[in-house]
This record gives sequence, C-alpha cells and structure tokens, in this order.
Amino acid sequence: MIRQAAVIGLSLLPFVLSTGVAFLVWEFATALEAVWRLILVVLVWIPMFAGGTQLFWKAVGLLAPKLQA
Amino acid sequence: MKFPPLGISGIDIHKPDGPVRAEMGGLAILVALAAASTVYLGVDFALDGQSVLFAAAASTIMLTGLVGVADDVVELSQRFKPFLIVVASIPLMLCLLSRGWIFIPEIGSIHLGLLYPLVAVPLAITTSANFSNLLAGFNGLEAGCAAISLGTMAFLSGITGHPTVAVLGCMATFAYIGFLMLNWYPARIFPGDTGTLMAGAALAALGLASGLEFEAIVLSIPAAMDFTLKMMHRHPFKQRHMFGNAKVRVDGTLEPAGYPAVAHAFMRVSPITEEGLVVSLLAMQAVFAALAIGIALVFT
Repeated sequence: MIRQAAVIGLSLLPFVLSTGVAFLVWEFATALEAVWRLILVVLVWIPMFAGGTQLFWKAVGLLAPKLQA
Repeated sequence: MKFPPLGISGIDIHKPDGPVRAEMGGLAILVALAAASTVYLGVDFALDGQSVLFAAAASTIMLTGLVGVADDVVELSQRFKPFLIVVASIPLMLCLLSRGWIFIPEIGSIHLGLLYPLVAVPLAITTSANFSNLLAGFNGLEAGCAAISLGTMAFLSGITGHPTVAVLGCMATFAYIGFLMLNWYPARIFPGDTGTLMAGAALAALGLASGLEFEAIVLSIPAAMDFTLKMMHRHPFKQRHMFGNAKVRVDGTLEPAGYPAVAHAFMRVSPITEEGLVVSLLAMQAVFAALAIGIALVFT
C-alpha cells in the first residue's frame, strides 16, 4: 500500500516541475507579447514535462529495490 | 446480441486462461449519451447559446465515438485516425469561433484570436482522445479514469457557471459508471477504441466548452505521463511487439513488460494483482482530480 502511494506521490513530480519552470519563464519573458509568451511557455513546458516523467521513472527504479528489501 | 460470434471480441490478456470477452462496449456509452442528449435538448425550451454549446460538445464527443466504432471494426490507420478526430471536432470549433481567450491560473486571460477555435480546439480533442487510448488495457481502468475525470469536469463546470456543460458531463459520467459495472474486474466486456477515444474527447470537449482548459490538462496528466514514457523508448509504438504484455504470475500478481509505462511503475515497486493495479491507477487519477479541483477553487 505504502509503495503504491509512493509511486502516486512521485507522479506529481513531472507536473510540478514543468509547471513551476513554465511559470518562471512567463514571469521573466515580460518583453514579449502575451501570445508569444504563452507559446514560449508551452515550448518550455513540454520538454520539462518529458524530463520530469523521466525523473519519475528513474525514481521508481531507485525506489523499488529499497522498498522491497 | 453476442459480440464474440460477430468477431467483435478480444482476449483478456491479463488472465491466466486468456478468456475471450466482448469488445466495443463503448458503443453502449455512445448510445446512452445520444439518447440522453436528445431527451435533454427536447425538454430544453430555452434553446439559447448554452444549448448550442451543449449540442456542439455532445456532437463532437459522439462523432469521436463513431471514429472509435470504425477503428474497432476495421482498424483504422494510425495516420488517418487523428484527421478523422479533427473532423469530429468541427462542431465545437464552429461553436467556439467567437471565443479567442484562454484562461490560465495565476497568469490570467490570454487572447489567442482564431488560433483558439482553429488550432487549440482540434489539437486538444485529438491529443486527449489519443492519450486516453494509451493508458488502457486493464479491467475497469479506462471506464474508471473516465468516470473520475468527467465527474470532476462536470462538478467544476457546475460551480463555475456552466450548467449545460455540467449536465453533459454528468450524462457522460453516469454512462461510464454504468458501463464500469460490467467492465470491472473480472471484466465481461471491454470498452474498445469506441469507449477510450470518446472518454478523451469528452474530457477535452468539457474543458473547452466550460473554459476550464487548464483543469482538463491537469486531469490528463496520468495519460500524458504514460504517453511520454512510451515515446521516450528507443522504439515508440513497437514496444508491445518487442516485449509483449505484462504477464500474470501463478499467484495472480503481474510481472511488468520490459518497457516504461505508468502501469509498469506500480508493478515494479511491489507485487500487485490486476485489480490492485487498477485501484492504484484510479487513486492516482483521483489525486490529479483533487489537484484540478483545488486549482479551480483557488484561482477562479
């Protein structure tokens, strides 16, 4: 049960990471018009989400043997 | 009517004896939604802009369901399926032609102009439909995730002043809950592409119709993670051919196949049965539903 809950908790990682970074990009790209800022945010969000998902998978791999021991 | 003699059947691959079960059960959801929408529009004497929005969103969901029916019967090419779903999204695109704003929490409203109806709407419907088609394959998973997501969108639409969208969301939610009773472990019927494509299209259509696009994206995160994990593999779309499916051990627990997927993450950390896996995945979907509700309550 705890192991499954840990995976659910880790699944929040990609969303939190990508949305957090995208928000920072929005805050700093003030020189751009709103539409271009949004496009930039989306372009940042997608690779950050992919990276976060990869981190999730790596973390599950690290977690599994420790929890099973 | 029995589906297996008609050839509309599939093998339940996560059972030791691999029983044959009826496929294309999403047809029941499609018929239920069509009947309920017809009755609703029949008694909706106001017939205002909200009713038109209801009809457009319902048409898009049901047309996507018909694409699913075609896919279940003749196995559509992966190249053509997205184009057909874009065609299915035309009613909602036309209805939202005059809306060019997208609201993002903490950022505010951004004017997209014609990019919203002509690009964002078909892209959202197609992407969401295909996402929900991927996170699937276990008894009760597709219908359960659909019920949680659509129920959340119905609730959020209701509290943010979109009652007709909430009604459509409730219809879809209860159609999936009704189907779940036959689809829950051990399943007697599978939703097929009809049920999965329609669930994704419904989530996006409800989000677009009620202006809760960000919340719909949050609800899509589990499916998006599954898609991303599968795309990160060296051979996307070929993993099942190369590694096969998850196998059932003698004790009934599942052994993950050798490629990354959200379902395999749960199987990796501890031995788990198919029913336990589906409960865990639905719990994950519920966490994202709670997150979407929290975001909507705080920022709108």
